[in-house]
Amino acid sequence: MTPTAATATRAAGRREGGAGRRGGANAVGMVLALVRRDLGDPRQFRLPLLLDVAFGVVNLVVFLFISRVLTPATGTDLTRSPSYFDFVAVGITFLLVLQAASTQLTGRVIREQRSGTLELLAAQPVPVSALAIGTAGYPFLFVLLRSGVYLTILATVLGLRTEHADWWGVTVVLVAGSAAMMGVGIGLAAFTIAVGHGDGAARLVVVGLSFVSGTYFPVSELPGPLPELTAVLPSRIALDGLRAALTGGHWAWSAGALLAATALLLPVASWAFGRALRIAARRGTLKRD
Amino acid sequence: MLTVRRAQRRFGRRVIFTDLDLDVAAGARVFLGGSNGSGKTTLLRCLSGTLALSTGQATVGGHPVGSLPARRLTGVCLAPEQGLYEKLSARENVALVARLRLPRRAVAPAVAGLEEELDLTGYATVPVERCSAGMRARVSIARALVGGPALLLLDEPSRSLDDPSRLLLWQALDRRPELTCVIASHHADDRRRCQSALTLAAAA
Repeated sequence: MTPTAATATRAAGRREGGAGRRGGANAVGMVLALVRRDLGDPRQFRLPLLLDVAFGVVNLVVFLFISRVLTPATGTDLTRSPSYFDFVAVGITFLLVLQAASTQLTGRVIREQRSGTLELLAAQPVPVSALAIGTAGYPFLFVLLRSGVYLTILATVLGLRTEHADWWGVTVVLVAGSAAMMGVGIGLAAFTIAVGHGDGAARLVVVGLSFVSGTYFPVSELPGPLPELTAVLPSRIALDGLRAALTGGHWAWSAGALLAATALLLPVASWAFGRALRIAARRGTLKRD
Repeated sequence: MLTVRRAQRRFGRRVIFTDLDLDVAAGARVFLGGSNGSGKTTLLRCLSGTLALSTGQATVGGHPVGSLPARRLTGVCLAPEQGLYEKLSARENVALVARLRLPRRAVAPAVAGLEEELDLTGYATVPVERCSAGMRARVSIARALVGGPALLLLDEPSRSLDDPSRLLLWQALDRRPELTCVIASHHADDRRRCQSALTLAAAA
């Protein structure tokens, strides 16, 4: 390779352009700008919501019929849920959050890498935490809406028992659970940027977390020390809290634990996101073909 | 404004450029030439901070490239027909970067000004996926100019532009005499409009 050098000369001392001096956008404004970017495309919003609701209703109806045919063994701890359907319906609703944190977020990062928009964003004066949260913001806002639609259909059409439900508690746990899972999602996005293969990793995380968190069956049925070990997982804490809030139980501890998990996970995940961007810049993979 | 010292970038064993030194004063325009595959885009990516140098260092306004202050000073237009949000309109694409760079009140006037300057108004509300390559290039250039950067990195900005659009581009740059530009191009006319040139040799 040829060593090349050049010097462009022009009278030095001219004033620098305005961007360096002028006050810029603040971090909250940047996060909102990134969320607004997604809201600006209604096609990301309307049809996916309709399709998702249709898919979700069919999925829930399948479990409604399964719960009519199969009865849990006597003594099975359904964490306060009055029936298996009530148990699994909450699991499927929170599964949406797990999917938003994993497959949807990594899918989005993969698309941004391929289209070159991730490189564009990495070149902007946006702090890493704002970029990470802004990228994850829309999928999580959307999943809260979807969860609300699911719970409404469950309560009004499919017979979910909600006579003792504390809806304030349901909302708080759902929001806190989503925030905690956002940390997991940003961590997966970081893995996707730095290593690639994020789609495979995301599917593994969804299956793994739904298996050990009590989505389809009570964690008390897990072998060995797993029931105790999985007690620290935000996904399990959120599911336990949601079931408690829907059946008039105590949900405040779950909400507090989820907020603490968020306070720990989000900064760690944002740091990992920043590291991933630096690794990708070193390897030249911020844009992948 | 822009300083590069003993810079090298390689991918594996393939060296793209090495021992590169560059000093660009504020307000200067540097033409970046070289044949296809000579590393022009790679160098621009390194200067924007989205690709790290393998060795050496580069600074913008005294700040290491890739740092937050350097990114604040740098406007980037890499692969001008790509890197746009396809479902968003030209206006929304420019506004996104404006919201990331400017205070809220300054966003709308900045976007409107650039729409007029680069003649985007006729298709400002059309999704970018329905725009021609030349229209998309103008959107990318407008986006790079948002917020009045001190350094502008343009990667073959005129390859898809017709003559009137190229004139718009150069008029926009001429209106900003304080703006430092590094422009990768194959056009002789672009070379003529720059004060100095840096030619990269193709990798062996």
